[in-house]
Amino acid sequence: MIGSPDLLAFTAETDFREPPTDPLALPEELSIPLCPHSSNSSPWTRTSRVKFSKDFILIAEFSEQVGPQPLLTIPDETKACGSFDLNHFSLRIMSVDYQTSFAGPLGSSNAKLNFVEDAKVVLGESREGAYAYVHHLTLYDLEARGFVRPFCMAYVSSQEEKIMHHFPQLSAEFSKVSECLKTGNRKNFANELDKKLGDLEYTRLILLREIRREQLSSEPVSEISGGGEEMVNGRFAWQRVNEDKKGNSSLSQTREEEKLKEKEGCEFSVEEVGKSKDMSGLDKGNESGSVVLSTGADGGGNNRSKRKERFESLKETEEGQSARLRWPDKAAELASVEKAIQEHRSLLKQVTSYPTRKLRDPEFLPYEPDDAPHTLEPDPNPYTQHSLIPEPGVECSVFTHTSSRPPQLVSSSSCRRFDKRLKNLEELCDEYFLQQALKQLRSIEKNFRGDSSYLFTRQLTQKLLQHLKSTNFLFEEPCDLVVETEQQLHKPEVRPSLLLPVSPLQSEPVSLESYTSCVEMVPIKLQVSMNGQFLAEPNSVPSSPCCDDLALVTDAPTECDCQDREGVPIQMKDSISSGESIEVLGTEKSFRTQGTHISIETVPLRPLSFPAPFLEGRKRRVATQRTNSEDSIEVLSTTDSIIPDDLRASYPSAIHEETSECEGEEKDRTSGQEDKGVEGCRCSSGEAAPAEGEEKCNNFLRTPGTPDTPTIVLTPPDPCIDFALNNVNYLDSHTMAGPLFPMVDAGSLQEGPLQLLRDDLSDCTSYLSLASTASEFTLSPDLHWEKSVGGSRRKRARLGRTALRFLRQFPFAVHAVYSLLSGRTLVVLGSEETVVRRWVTALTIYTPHVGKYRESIQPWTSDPLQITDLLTWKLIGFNRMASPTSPGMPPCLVRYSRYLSVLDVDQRTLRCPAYRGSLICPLVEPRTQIVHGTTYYLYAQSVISKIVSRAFLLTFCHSLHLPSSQSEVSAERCYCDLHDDDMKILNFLSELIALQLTDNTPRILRFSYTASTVFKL
Amino acid sequence: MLRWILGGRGAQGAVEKSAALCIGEEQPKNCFTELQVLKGHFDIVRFLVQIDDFRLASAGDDGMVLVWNVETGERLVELRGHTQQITAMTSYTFIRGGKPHTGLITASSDRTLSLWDPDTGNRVQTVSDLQSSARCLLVLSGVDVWLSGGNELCVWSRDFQLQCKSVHHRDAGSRHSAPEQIHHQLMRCIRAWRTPIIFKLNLSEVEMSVLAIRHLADHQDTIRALISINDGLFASGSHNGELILWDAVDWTIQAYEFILWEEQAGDAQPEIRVGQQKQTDMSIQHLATDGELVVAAVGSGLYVYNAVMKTVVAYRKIAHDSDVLHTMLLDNGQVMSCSEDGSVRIWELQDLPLPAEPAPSGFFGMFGTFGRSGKQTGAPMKKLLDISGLRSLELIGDLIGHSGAVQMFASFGEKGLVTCSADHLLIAWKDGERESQLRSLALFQKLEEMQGL
Repeated sequence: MIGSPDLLAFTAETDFREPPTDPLALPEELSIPLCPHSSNSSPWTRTSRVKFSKDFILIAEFSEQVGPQPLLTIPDETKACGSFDLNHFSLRIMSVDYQTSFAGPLGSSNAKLNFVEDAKVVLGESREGAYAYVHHLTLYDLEARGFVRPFCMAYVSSQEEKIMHHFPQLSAEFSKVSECLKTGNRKNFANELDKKLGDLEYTRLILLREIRREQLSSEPVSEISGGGEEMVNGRFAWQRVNEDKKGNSSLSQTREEEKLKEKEGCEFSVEEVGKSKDMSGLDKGNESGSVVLSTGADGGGNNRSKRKERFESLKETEEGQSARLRWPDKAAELASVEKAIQEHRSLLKQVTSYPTRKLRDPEFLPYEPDDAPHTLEPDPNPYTQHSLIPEPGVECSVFTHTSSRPPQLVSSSSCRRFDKRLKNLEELCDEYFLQQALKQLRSIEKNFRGDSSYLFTRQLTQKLLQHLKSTNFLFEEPCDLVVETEQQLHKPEVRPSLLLPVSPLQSEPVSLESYTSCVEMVPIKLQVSMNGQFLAEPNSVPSSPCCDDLALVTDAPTECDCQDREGVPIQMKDSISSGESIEVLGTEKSFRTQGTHISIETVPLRPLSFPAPFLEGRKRRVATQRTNSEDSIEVLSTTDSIIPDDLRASYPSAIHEETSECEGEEKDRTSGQEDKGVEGCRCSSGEAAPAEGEEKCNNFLRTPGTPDTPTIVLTPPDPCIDFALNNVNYLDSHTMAGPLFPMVDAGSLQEGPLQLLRDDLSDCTSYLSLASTASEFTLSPDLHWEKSVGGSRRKRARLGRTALRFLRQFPFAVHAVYSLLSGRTLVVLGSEETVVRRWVTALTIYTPHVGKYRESIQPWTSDPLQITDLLTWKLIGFNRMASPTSPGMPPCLVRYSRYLSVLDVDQRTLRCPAYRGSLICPLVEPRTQIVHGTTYYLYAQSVISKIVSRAFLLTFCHSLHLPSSQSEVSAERCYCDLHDDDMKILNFLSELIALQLTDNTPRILRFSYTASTVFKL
Repeated sequence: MLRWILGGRGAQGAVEKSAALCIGEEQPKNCFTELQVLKGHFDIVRFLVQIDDFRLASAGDDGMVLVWNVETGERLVELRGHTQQITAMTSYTFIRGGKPHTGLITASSDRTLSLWDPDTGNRVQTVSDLQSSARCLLVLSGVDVWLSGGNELCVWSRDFQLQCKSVHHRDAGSRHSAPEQIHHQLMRCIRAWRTPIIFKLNLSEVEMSVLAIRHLADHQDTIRALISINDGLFASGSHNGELILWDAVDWTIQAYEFILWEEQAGDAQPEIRVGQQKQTDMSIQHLATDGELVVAAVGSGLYVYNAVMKTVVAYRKIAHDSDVLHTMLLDNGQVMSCSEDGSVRIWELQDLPLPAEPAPSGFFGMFGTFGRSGKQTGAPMKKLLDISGLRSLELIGDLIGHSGAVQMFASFGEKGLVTCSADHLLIAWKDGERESQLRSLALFQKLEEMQGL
C-alpha cells in the first residue's frame, strides 16, 4: 500500500555549464544560467493533478505511538491543502529517513544522545503530483524512545523544478528553522532533565532513608543518636550552604528559622526514630509523622505549630507516596535509581555541552561517548557509608520552602509508559524558539510563493542587479537589492561565534545566539563557583536534599553577576537578589573575553562533587525560566552587549523590511484581496464588456449609505483598486438594481476619475485573470498576505498602472518624463492632495533615485520651496492652496521657475522645456498598446535600463571627459549621435553614476538655461 | 526674519515680475550651470573673504566664521568665539617661519577683534573691551600693520598691539567709516562722514602716529563708498549720488559726477519706472574698480565710469529690482552685481549697435566738472548721450537661488562664485561642464586606484 516514494536526485544545473572561455563573454557573475526548463515544457505552472492549490509547508512527526502524522501546515491546512491527504503524504515522507542512527538502547549504562545531522531530501509523490523538499530533524524528549522524536518539515509543491532549483535556498532556510527548533528543544530538554534529576535525587534519598530505617530497626538506639549527631553536623553544613544561597535580607530570619527547625528537628527525629522503632510496617512513615507532629505541636508556639502542620501535610503526601509506591526491592530500586541519575546526568551534560563542543570543533561529528564523568565521578557509596542520611525533619523543613514543583518520586517502572501522551511540539520546544521557527517558516512560505518561473527570474534579476552596483541605485526598487543583501546575512554558514563562545544550550550561531548566551551562561558560572565551594568543604556535599533550598532561594526572578560569584559564595547573595537582566548582560560582555576557558574548566570540575550537577540543574531551571518572560528579552535587546543586527539577522526579516513603506496600504487591502481571489471571475466579466465595467465602476463610487450622492472618491495613491475590490460583493448585489450612475448622464463631472476607475478595474481584472491561470499565488485568499514578494509585485503593478494612466491622460507626458530624467525637478501642482499624490506616484517610475531611496520624492508639501529642497527633491507634489493669495502659480515656484518643471493638474498644463529627442519616446509610446500595469512597469524598467546602460558607457568613455581634446565633440557625436536633449538625459544619469561611484555625493544642482514651453491639454 | 525669508520674497517676486527686466531662461553666456548650497550659518551672512585659491571664510550676524572649501563645498573649520554679530572681516597674510600664513581678522559687535588661524580653527589673538566696535578693517600692505575703523581709527601691529589711535572725535555719531589705503608709503585714510578726512600715518622706529592732515568737504551727503582706483586716484560715492574722483597726491577733485536718474516719460523701455524718486535710488552703495573702470552701485542701478578717460562708459538705471549691494568687475570685462532682491546678475559691456541712436536707457544728469569748480548743485544738464564711447550694459545672465538679499559675493575665477545672503545660505555657483569633467577625472582616478570597478 505504501509505495516507496520517489527519491529524486538533486543536481545543480550549473554543474554542467562549462566555464566561459570567450574573452568577450560576460563575466561569470553577470552571465545568465540557461533556462532551467526543458524545451518542451512551458515555463509556467502546469495545471497539475495536485489537490492542493498552492505550495505549503508541512510539519510531520513520526510518532512512536501512532506512526507518521501531520502536525501543522503553513499556511493553515484549510487554506493550503484542499483535499490533499496530509496523512498519507506525511506517511510517505516520514517513511524515508536517512538518519544513520538513533540513540543507543535504552537502559544501557551510558545513555547517549545522538546529535544527528538533519537529513534533507527531495521526494516526489508521482501519483499525486506532489513534490517535497523534506527536512528531517530529531528533537529530544526524555519520555520518548531513545530520547528522540523524529520530525520533518516539508516544503510541498506541485512543481518539481521549483524545488529542484531552490534546493539550496530551501535547504539553507530550513536548516535555520531546524536549528531554531533544536535550540529551543535542547533548552526544554535540559529543563526536563533537571526536573527528572531532581526527582531521581529525591527518590534516591527517600530510598536511602527507607533502607536506613530498615537497618535501624534492627540496631540499638545509641547508634541512632550517633547518627543524629552526624546528621546535625550535616545540617550545619547544609545550613552553611543555605546561608550562602540566601539573600542578605532574609539571612537573619532564616537563621532564626533554622535554629528553630534544628531544635524541632532534633526532638522530632529522636521522637520519630523512637516511634519508628516500635512501629514497623510499610506505612510507618506516614503514621509516625502524624503522631510526632501531634505531640510535638504542644511544645512550640504558634509559629511552630503552623510549621508543623505544614510538615505534616507535606510529610503525609510524600510518605504516602513512598508508601504507595511500595518498592518491592529497595536495594535494587536504589541501584536503578542511581544508575538513572548517572544516565540523566550524562544526558544533561551531553545536551548542554553539545553546542560548546560544536562551536569549538567546526567539524563536529555526532556525539562521541565521553567517559570522563564516569571515571571521575566518585562512587556514590561513600555517602551511604558516611551514614549521613538526612533526617526526615530536616528534609521536610526544606520542603516547606519549596513553592515550586516539589520533587516527585519516580520508580523505574514508571519511567516508560507507552500509553502516556507524548509531548507535542509546543512542549518539546521552548516557546520563544518555536515562535521564531514558525515565523521563519511563514516567511519561507511567502518567499517561495509563486510560480517557479517567476521565482527563477526574480532570483536572476536580483543576482544580476546585485552585480550592477554602479547603476542599480538609479531606478531599481531597493527591495530587489535589499533582499539579496539580507540573504547574505542569512547565509547558513556558521558565522564566527564571537558572541557566545560558551553558552551551553546554544547550538548554531544562526539563531538568537546572544539571547541564549545571556540566559544560559549563568549556570556554568554558578557551577564554577559551586565547585569551588564544594571543593573547599567536602563535608557539606552530601546533604543533597538541602540543595532544594538552594533552588528555592534562587527561585526568585534573580540574576547573578557571574563574576561576583566566582569563588566567593557569600557575594552571590547580593547579586542574586539585586541583579536584573542588565547585570547578566554586563557579564556577557566580559564573558566573551574570558568565557572559553571557563567552560572548559567546568567540565572536569563538575564531577568532583556529586551534587554539583544537581545544583546546576536547579540553577539552570531558574535561569531558563527567565527566557520565557517577555521582558527579559526586551532588556536583552537594549543592552549594548548585543549587537542588534545579530538579533535581527536571525529573523527572516528581509521581507518585512523591503516593503515596509507600503505596509499601510497593504494592510488596508488585505480584505480586498480576499475578495479579489474569490470574485476574480466575476470581475473579469467587467473587462469583457467595458461599458458594463464602467457602469460597475460607477456603482463602486456609490457608498451604500448614500446611494445618490455623486461623490468621486479620491483616496490616497491608487486607492481605486482597493475601493473597487472592497466593494465587489456590494457590487454584485447591486448591479442589477442600480440605475446608471447619475453622474454619467449629467456628464457634469470631469471624466478623469471615471476613467481612472475603469483603468483600475480593467487592470485589476486582467490581473486577476492572469492570477487565475497561474493558480499559485493569488487565488486562495490569505489573511496573512504580507508586504513580501507579492507586495512588491502588487506595488509594481500599481505603479505601472498609474504611470499608464498618466500617459493616457496627458499627451505631453513625454516632456514631463524628460524633465525627470534630465534632472530637472518636476512639481506636480494641484489643490487636491489625492490627485497630486496619484500623479506623483505615476511619475515615480521615471524618477532616478538621488541620494537615498525615495529621498528625491516628496509627494505632498505645502511649504514654500527653498533652494535646498531643489537639491534633494526631484519630484514634488505641491499644494496650490499653500499660497492662496496668488491664484496662479505659487510665488516660490515662480521664483525658481528656471529649475522647475511644473505640471499643473488643475489646469492641466505643463510648463517645462520641450523634449525634441527620441531616446525616451519608447517610454510613452505604449500608452495604447500596453494594458496591464505590471507589463508596463517591466517594460518601462527595461527601456530605462537601456538608457542607464548607455549612460554608464558614457560615464566611462574616457575621451568624452578629457577637456580640450579635439575629438571631444566629434566623439560625443559619434558615440551617441543623439539629440541634445537625449545627451542631457545621459549626461545627468552619467553624472549620478559618477557621483555614486566616487562615494562623493555633494549636494549639487545642475541646471541649464533653457526656455520652457507651456503645454496645454 | 524667518517669515520674511520664507514668505516675503514671494510677494516681492510678484512685483518683480512686472518691473524687472527679465532675461528669460535662455542664457547661453551664463556659465554657472551648477550650484551647491553651503549651509551652516544661522543668521544673515554678510561677509565673504577669500583665504586662498580654494578656501573661503564667511561670517555674519550669528557671530560665526565658517571656512569652506569652495571646490568641494566642504565646511572645513568653524571659528566660534564672537558673541555678537561680526561687523568686519579681512584676511591677513603674514610671514611666519619663512612661509606666508593667512589669518583672518574679525571684528564683532561684542567689541572684540580676533585673529584666527583658518587651518586649525584656533583663535590666535584677541583684543577685547574696545571702546567701540570696529566697523571696518584694513590691512596695510607694505607695513606690517592693520587698521580698525569705528568711531575711532586704531592702528594695530601684527601682534595685536595697539600702535596708535586717531584722536579725532569730531564725528562721534559716525557709524560708518571706510578707511582706504591710498598711496604707497604715505598712508592716508579717509574717514567717511560728510567730509573725507585724510590721515597720515607716520611710521617711525619709535612710534606711530595718526594725524588728520586734510578734510575734503566736497560731498553734500554721507559718503557711502570709498575706493582707491590706482596710485593716483581714489573715488568716493555719497548717499545722494555724487561720485567724486580725487587726486591721491594733492587731493584735488578730478571729476565730479552727480548721478541723477532722470525721470523719463514717453520712453517705452521697460526698466523705466515712473514714480517719485527716492533718495536711496541714487545712493552709491558700493564701488568696485579694476584700476580703470569704476563700477558704482547706484540705488538699484549700475554705473560704469572710466576713471582714466573721465567718461561714463555705461549705465543702467534699473539693474535690479532692489538696491544693489555689491558689484564686481570680472576679468573678462563682465560686471557682476548682487542685490537685495536676492539675485545676482551678470552684465556685459557691449558696444551699442548703432552709436548714433539715442541711448536706450534712461537719462542721467551729469555734471562733468573738472577741478574744484563743479561744486554747485544746479539743475542737472540734460543731454543726449551720444558720446562715442558709450556702451550698453547688457544682462547676460542671472543667478537665482537665494531667497534673501544677496549681501556679497566672492569670485574664485573658473572655480566659481560664492554668494552669501540674508537667507543664511551660501551658494557656490560653478560651471557645470567643468565640474562634470572634474568629477569624471576623479572617477577615473578612483578606478585606477581600485583597479576597476
